[in-house]
Parts: sequence; C-alpha cells; structure tokens
Amino acid sequence: MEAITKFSAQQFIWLVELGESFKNYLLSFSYIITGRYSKKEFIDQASKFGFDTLPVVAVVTFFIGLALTLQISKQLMGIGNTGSLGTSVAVSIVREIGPVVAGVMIAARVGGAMAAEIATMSVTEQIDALKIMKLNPLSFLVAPRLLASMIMTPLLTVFAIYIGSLGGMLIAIVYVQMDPYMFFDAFRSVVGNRDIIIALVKAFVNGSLVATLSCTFGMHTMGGAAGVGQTTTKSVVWAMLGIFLFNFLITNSVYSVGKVLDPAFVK
Amino acid sequence: MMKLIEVENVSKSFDGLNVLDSVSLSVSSGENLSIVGPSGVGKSTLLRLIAGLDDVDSGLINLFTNKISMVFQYSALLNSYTVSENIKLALHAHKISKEEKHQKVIEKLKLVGLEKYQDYFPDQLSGGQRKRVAFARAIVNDPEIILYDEPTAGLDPILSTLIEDYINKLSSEYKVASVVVTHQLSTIRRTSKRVLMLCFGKIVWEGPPDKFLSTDNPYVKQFVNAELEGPILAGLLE
Ligand SMILES: Nc1ncnc2c1ncn2[C@@H]1O[C@H](COP(=O)(O)OP(=O)(O)O)[C@@H](O)[C@H]1O
Ligand SMILES: [Mg+2]
Repeated sequence: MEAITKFSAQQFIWLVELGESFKNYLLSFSYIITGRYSKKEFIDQASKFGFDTLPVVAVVTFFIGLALTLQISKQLMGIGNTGSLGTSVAVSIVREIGPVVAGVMIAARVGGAMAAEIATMSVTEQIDALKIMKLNPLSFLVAPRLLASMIMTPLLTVFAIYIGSLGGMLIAIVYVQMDPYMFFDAFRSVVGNRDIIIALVKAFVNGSLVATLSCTFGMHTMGGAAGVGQTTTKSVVWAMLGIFLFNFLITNSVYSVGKVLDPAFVK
Repeated sequence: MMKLIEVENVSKSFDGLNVLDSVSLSVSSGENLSIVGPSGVGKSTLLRLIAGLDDVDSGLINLFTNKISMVFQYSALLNSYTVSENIKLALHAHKISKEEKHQKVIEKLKLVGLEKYQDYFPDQLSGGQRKRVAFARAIVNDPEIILYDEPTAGLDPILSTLIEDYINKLSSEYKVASVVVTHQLSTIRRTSKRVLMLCFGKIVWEGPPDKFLSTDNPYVKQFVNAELEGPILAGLLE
C-alpha cells in the first residue's frame, strides 16, 4: 500500500509543482502590486534581462524572418501573387513568430539562468539564510524577477517583431525585387492595434511563465550541483511547453477561423 | 533561567528513513550547548527544525524568543551582494537610519576583523573569511540565541580557535545562548557547558564536556577515541 501511494506521489509530483507555481505567481503578483519587493533585485534583473537576450533574439528572429519570407515568396511567385507577400509575412511574424520565438529564447537564456541561480541559492542554503533573517523569498527573489520578466518580455517581443520584419523586407527587396514601401504598406494594412495588443498579451503570459516556473523549480531543488543541472533543464522544457500551449490557446480564442473570415476583422 | 527553546518528542523522517526519533531537549537563556554525533545522524536536521526551516513529523518545538540567528555550515552568504550588503540585509526590519545601519555593520565587521573587506563579494573571500562574515551577519541584530552548524568544520586549527573565541565572547559579554553542532572535540571543550550526543535518532548521552571525554558510554567512547570497534560503525553499516 505504501509502495502504491509513494509511486503515485512520485508520478504526480509535477502536478504539485505546477500548483505551487501558480500559488507563487499569485502571491508574487500581490507583492508587486503592493510594492513589497526588492527594488535592487528588480533593477539588477531587468538590466540583465536586456543584455542577455537582446543579441540572441535579434539574431534568431532576423534569420527566421529571412527564411520564412523566402519560403512564402517562393510559393507566391509560383502563383504570380507576390503582392500579398507583405500581408502573409506580417500576419505570421506579428501574430505567431514574434511572441513565440522571443518567448522561447527568453526561456532558454533567462529562464535557464534564473533557475540555475535560484537552485544554487537553494542547495547552498542561501534561501534558508533569507528565511532566518525574516526576508520572504517570494518578495525578495521571485517578485522582482517576475516583474522584470513581465516588463522585459513584451519589450523584447516588439523588438523581435521589428527585426523579423526587417529580415522579411530584405528578402522582399533582394529576392522578389519588391518596393520596400509596398512591403510595409501591406504590413500596415493587415496589422491592427488589436494584433499588437494580442502579441503583447502573449508576451506578458510568456514572461510570467518563464519567471514563475524557473523560480518555483529553483526553490524546490535538492541534491547539490546535479540537482541544479536537472532543475535548469526542467525549467526550460516546462516554460517552452507552457509558451507553446498558451500561444495556441490565445491564438485559438482570438483568431479562430470564424473570426478571421469576418471581413471586418481582417480589414 | 528562562527557557529559550523547548523541543518535545520530535520525530522526523525522510523517505522512510527515521532520522530523529522522539528527541527532547531544551536550551535556556545564556546557555551554551553542543550537539555532537557521527555524520548523517540528523544534527543539521535538528537545527533546521528548531530554526523553523523544516516541519516536524510529530512532537513540538516551542520558541520563547524570536531573536534567533543561524550560522550555516557553508556560510550561505548571498553571492550577488557585497559583504556589507549581506550583513545589512539582516537589519531590513530595523527602523533605523541608513547611517545607523552602516554603523552597526561596520562595528560587527570590525569584531571579526574584516572591515577592509566590506565591498568584496563572497566569492572573493576565503572559506574562513566567509565564515566570519556569516558570523557578523548572525549577530548584527543582537540575537538571544545563535544556532551554529559545524562552525569550525573545514577550518585550520587557528581559525577554529578564532571562531570558538567569537562564540565564547558573545556568550560571556552579551549572554547570547548558543547551540553548536560540531564534530570537533576542541570546539566541544572550548565552547560548551553541556554536551548532547545524537546517534541513530536518539540522544544517547548528555553531560558536561569534561565528563564527555572520560565517560564509559560506548557511543561517546567510540566517538571520542575515533575507534572502529563499537556501536556507531556497526549501526551505520547495518
Ligand atoms: N531534505 C532532505 N531530504 C531527504 N533526506 C534528507 C534531507 N535532509 C537530510 N536528509 C537525510 O537525513 C539524514 C540526516 O542528515 P543531516 O541532518 O544533514 O545529518 P548531519 O548534519 O548529522 O550530518 C541523512 O541521511 C540525510 O541524507
Ligand atoms: Mg550536517
């Protein structure tokens, strides 16, 4: 009997940790709103965030913009309809690729580092030291990281969208010999404020997921350096899964087929 | 004597391993207690339970003070904060000015002879220096009792003596009580008035340090004389 309960507890430990993550998210969010978080940690984290991710996000989204536009333009040239190149690229980059790619890069770069840092603090008793000093680890460590992530991820997502579109435009000019103004006119005609807001909402969710999962898994780490490694991998994998899942859920609820076919929506 | 800590029939197990089995003890104000025992018998676990870092499975822990500090085995300084910032964090709840806080921090750094290192980061210090910073951090908000987890483990004999002197100085000058978990006979002899030996989940011996070195108790005897023959190794290998 004991073996069975232990087995199932082991099997469902991830469920417990997800519950814990959600609880930490709500608590940290309340600390942010009431201003009870370490401002020093916030400033450190926010600046590290930008430095760490700006270059990788730029490089990755630029190349994805190139490859994506190349593929789309090849298809469109086949049917002699390169006029809709701008709209196709715009829709993919603004609505899907920008938020997802920025989110995934942030999960890998920042989430991994965050998880490793908190996990190390956990196994070297630094978190216990905070508790002894009556500093709440959620308001001291988690809330500032969450806030930094919730602010910086949307900014980096907008940046990713710009760089990705720049890559797309480059292909449009060089490969399709398209007028850049035409490309951007198409962009502007199809991308509304609503798309930008939805992209920012996605980014906000991604940022929340990365910080919350990394910090929660980090604080649960046991077993020295090996444990730190496991936590890092686990945080990155779960954050990416979460990003893909929520991206789909949001896309599905706001861009479902019926709505997209609605001419008022597409413009 | 006012009681500071009371541990009553506390048990704790991890994954079916019974680490503490109905352990009871108490510490009064100003008292200096050593807890000794072989590695892995649950000394750190007991300290963590007392400090409220972990929950008991059964039993009770009563604290009659909230002015409790702890010095961790590997110092546990925050890596991204300087020496003085680390100590200042312990003062976060104090309603005093920045200058007064800084004054207090410097005063404690002087006590451990590290005022020149106030702007260093922990990984720029040696293990012994980190230990001294951890000590300064533990005492900066004037605790009534400090829990030490192996404060002298891994230090050379001279540094060990230095740390032992700090512990003694705190108890003689400021009447700070201490619970010192240690392996080292010198630390037991020099810092404690009472010794508890923990083995296989139970307290197997209790008494003053001079008796500790001369008792016939088979556990203590084997431990003090570092013998392979005796109940400890047999139990560990079991
Ligand atoms: N968080 C934990 N999870 C699982 N086992 C633990 C945990 N903490 C301690 N233990 C186990 O409890 C026993 C006692 O550990 P500890 O209190 O660190 O011993 P000591 O400090 O006396 O060397 C060891 O066998 C250790 O592996
Ligand atoms: Mg220990």
